[in-house]
Amino acid sequence: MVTPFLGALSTFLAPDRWRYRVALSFSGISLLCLVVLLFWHTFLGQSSTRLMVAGGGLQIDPFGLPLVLLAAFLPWCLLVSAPLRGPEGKEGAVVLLLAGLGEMLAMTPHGGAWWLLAWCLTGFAYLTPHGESVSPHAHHSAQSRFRRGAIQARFQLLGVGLGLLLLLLPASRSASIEAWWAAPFLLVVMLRGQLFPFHVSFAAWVESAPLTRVAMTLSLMPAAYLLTLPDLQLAPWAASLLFWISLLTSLCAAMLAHGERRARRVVAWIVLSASSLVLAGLVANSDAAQLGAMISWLATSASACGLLMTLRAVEARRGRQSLDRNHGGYERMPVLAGSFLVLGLAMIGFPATLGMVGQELMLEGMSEQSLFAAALFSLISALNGICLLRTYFRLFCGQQPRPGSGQACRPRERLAFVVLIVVLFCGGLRPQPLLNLQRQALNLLDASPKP
Amino acid sequence: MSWLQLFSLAALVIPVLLFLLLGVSQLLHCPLREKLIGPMAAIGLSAAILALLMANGLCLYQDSAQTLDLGRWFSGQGHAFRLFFLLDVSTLPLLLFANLLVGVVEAFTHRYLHREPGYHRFQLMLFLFLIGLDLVLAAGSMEMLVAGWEFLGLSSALLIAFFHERSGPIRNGLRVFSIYRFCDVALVSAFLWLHAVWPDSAPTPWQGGVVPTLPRGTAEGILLLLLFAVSGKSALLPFSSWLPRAMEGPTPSSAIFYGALSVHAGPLLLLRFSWLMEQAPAATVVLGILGALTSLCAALVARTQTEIKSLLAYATVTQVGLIMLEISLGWHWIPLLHIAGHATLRSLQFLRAPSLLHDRHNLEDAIGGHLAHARIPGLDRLSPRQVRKLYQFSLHRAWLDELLDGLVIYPWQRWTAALVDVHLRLEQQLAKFVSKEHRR
Repeated sequence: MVTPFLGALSTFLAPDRWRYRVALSFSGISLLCLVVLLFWHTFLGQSSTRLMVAGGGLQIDPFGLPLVLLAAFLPWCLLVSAPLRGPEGKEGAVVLLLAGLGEMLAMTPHGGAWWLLAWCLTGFAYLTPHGESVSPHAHHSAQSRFRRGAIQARFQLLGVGLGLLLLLLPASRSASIEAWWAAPFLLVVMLRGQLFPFHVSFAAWVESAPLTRVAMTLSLMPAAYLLTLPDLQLAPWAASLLFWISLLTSLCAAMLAHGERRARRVVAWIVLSASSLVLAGLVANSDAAQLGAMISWLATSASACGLLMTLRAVEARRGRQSLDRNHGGYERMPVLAGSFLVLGLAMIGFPATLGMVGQELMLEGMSEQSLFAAALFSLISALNGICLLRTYFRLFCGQQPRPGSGQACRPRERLAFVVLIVVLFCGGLRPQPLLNLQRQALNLLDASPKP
Repeated sequence: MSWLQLFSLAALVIPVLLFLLLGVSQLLHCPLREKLIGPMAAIGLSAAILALLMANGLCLYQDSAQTLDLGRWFSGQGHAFRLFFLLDVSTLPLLLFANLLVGVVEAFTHRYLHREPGYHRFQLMLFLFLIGLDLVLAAGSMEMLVAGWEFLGLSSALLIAFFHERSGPIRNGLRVFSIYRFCDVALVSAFLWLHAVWPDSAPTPWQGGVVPTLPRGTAEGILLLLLFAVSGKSALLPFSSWLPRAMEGPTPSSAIFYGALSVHAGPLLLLRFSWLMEQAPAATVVLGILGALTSLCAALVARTQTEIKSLLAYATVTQVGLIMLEISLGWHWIPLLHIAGHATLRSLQFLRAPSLLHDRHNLEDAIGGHLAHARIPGLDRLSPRQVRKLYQFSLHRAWLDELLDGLVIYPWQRWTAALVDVHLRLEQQLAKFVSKEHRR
């Protein structure tokens, strides 16, 4: 767990031409350590591995195991596929820092001091560097984008502050008894999860921030961690309200994605729509929906990260993309195009992917609660699918761009995309071990009162 | 596992292997050569057809239906997704028929798309289509049927947009996909509703279980939802306008999708749910009326088409409408025979479409004169004004495009644009507020 933090510091301090190698090395070491730990854990057959560090504890339980692997794996994918030179170089440090925070969230006792620290620090990732290079396709200046993106940072920091205050008060955890505690909790989840109405500047933040940071930040899903605190008992009315707000946010984001004309904003809304569905599943009145949401959490994190990676690769070649016309270029970058489509489909739950497993269970579970909610869920999924295909056609299909723009996919990029796609498909074709693990994780968590 | 199950499994697995092989090679940026893909596909599909022939023979010999249960793909918290296939006397012949047609189209494709830049892409989508179709035909559970349905939809849309250098195919591909996805919501809703009234553990009627008696309103509602889903897939009213748009794709895909197989997925689905129609008479009447109206409209519209593939598209819609009418009358084998005959004929016509003029000249040479123009019977009894109205109706393709655009697409675009506008204004206002804070 220490490796990502050391790596972040080393990357920050390293000269520009070494940054990439340092970041990638530390990321690789961190991933290797976790893989070795996983094999050791499996070999010894223990239900948890407990290490005592500095009076606290690190443990890998069924809940944290896939999340910690994801926290180590996704940064590696991001770093392998990005050169990170020039102004983007320091983003490698941010990615490693976020990876370390993600591992802390997954490995430290939930709700403990270290967990709380990691949870709060993730909010600071929304503070983006001031301004970026402006492409001819951008409709607004970099400064304007920064100002708009800063709103989302404020929402996040407000959520961090309020969350810190509430989580430090022991009485607030038993919110089912003191029902009025549920309201601030609800607010914290809505702020950190970018739920309605705090989703307003989400796309602006994605527009203003480096995509590497966006991909890593969004894959952490701090609101989902909050909803899976073991001793949290959300009041029934709050759980129900949160369920419907999440669905409403998801629908709103899906509709916004249809109306947008800029690629980054479209992808941002699709990702928000998918992640809101995860939050809805976590507070749903059904064990199947909660289990599905746990699986979807992993699938959405991985596929959202991958989708943003492909968009980053496209923007690195052509700059910011507008969806007013077809840009072409499929014949030059078929792997990028295919990866964009496949990763997007995995996020919306296309059959044979891990996303489908989670969405299938969520759909079944939600139908037990409300047929209308389940129908809304499938409508949102359909809207996201249409938007995704439209974006794919706009970005990669059409007249060939001017020759000599060097758009072929680099081997490192291809490696990252292929590995991510293989993981999503293997997880989808053989999901039962992961499902068993997540079922154990659900059993470990306290059940919330039913809405 | 019996021989029947083994052969059936082989036939189902072969397209998956071919798809994975092509897909992985493309993903690793070392696509297989055309010289390798063609023979590989031919051998694979031949093996699948042979396996299905054996399976059909065994099914007839044993005179009993079997199932292929590959266990649970995944399960959790009381819900399970089972890999369960039906191997009965109506499924196996359909599977054989589908594989035969795909084999013929594959052989045609290997020559038709020779050296075409999108050859690999086409083959990949063709195998994805075959996987989807196998799932739809042999699905023993609703979840598997939906999975196959989604494969059909995606492969269809990507093949319509095959010639993606032009904007027309892209636009039409997206439109078709949108209609599919929109109608799939109804399909999923129908299945969820059915799940809600059906115990999970009980086998469905098409698995040999007892036909449940559903409340009247439930049965009607579920069948209406299924009808909506099928309307999209099979180009019934008011969605018929997508089929001629789908002709943007290459001829082999037009043949296999819109002439032969994909467009008949809807009637096949309804045949699976024939037990539901007995409990939902009102919805069945709606089905019959919809089928008849679709058939009538398409027959009229086909009269003024000037392009062969559009003409064939509307001819297809006409027949699909008639098949729906037959299904609404409670027939089972007549629609199946109709589907088989229609699919074969239409595939032939689509594959021969590029040679239409050549064929017509050969025919006229053979008969020694021009072919007579077919007249619509009974048209002489109408007044000139009525004939003009019919002509306008036909020329404008029943104004279906305008209807869909006016009622759904343009309002949707306006609403989403307005929503985006509201959000952008809110962002601006909040950004101004943030900058004022900075200035203080």
